[in-house]
Amino acid sequence: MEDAQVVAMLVRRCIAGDVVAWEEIVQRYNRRIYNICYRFAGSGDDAQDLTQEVFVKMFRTLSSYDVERGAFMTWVTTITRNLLVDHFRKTKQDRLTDSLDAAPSEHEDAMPLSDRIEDKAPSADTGVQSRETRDLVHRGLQKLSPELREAVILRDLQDMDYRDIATVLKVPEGTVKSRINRGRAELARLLQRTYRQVI
Amino acid sequence: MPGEAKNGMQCAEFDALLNEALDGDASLSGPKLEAFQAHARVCAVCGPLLAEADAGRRWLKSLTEAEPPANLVHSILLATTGQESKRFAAHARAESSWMDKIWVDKIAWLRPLFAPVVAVSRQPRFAMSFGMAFFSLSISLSLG
Repeated sequence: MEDAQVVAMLVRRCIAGDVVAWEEIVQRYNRRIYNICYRFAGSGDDAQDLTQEVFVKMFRTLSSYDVERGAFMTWVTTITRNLLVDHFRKTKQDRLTDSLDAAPSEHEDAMPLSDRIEDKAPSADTGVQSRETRDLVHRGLQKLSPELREAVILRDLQDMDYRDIATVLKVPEGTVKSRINRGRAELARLLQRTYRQVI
Repeated sequence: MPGEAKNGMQCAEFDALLNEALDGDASLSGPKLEAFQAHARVCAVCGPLLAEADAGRRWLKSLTEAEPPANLVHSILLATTGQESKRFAAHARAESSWMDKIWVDKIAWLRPLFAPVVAVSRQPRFAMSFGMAFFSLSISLSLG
């Protein structure tokens, strides 16, 4: 049985009140939703709360999902994205406006990131996989505007195709492509500007 | 300058092909690809844009999947259905206390008789009452 058919059956069982089917859906999608929330919101705690909210909303509106109108994954991602946008608007006033250097993660030592990165001389070509570098990119992502951030997260981190992203974001495919390119370029410029020879 | 035609390609056309180029799309090939590459070499706007977009994409691809908290599924199920995860419950049973194991496995035949008493005594308010009664009794005995 194809994945789409399996999911459609799970959804039908959920609507009929099958708790085991609902748990299967939660097991299937929690990792993906958590990762979208984590990369968009920036913190693990926020991501956990938001993921839970997404599933609560899914649980309440599951009967509105129409198999004929699109993939379940797209529907789930749309709910996630809408909730993240709401969260972004609500927390706009509270957000920190500090620089990348001012927010070291708990995993970093006392040496400024810029120095460490310069010493290690990483480049985008060699693709350094260190934890510090990933922290740097993750924090850089938070500095992008929400429109650009959501576009690059869905494309480069969730590997969604342009058409599905357009459905989720409710914009034309051309706009999606443009936002992805601008988001990628802005992230690169941001990292380059902040840490000199990162790229 | 943006909008200018360089090597037979407009900046807008280059911009539209940027995703295909970075995705390694097979449809961008032959003379079209050559024109794209030539435009990138000579255009002061599009050349750097291609390099930056490519670098940004690589940086994003370097991010690994974040591990969700261990209790996430459990919390979601509690928040939605009010029930524990079946897997979580099975795991919890495997790690249940020695008292529970004796109660379930060794003296299961006594369960019908004592189940109501045990159930009541496990409620926090009754457990506290039993504790206080035991404490009072032991104090009285030691003073006596």
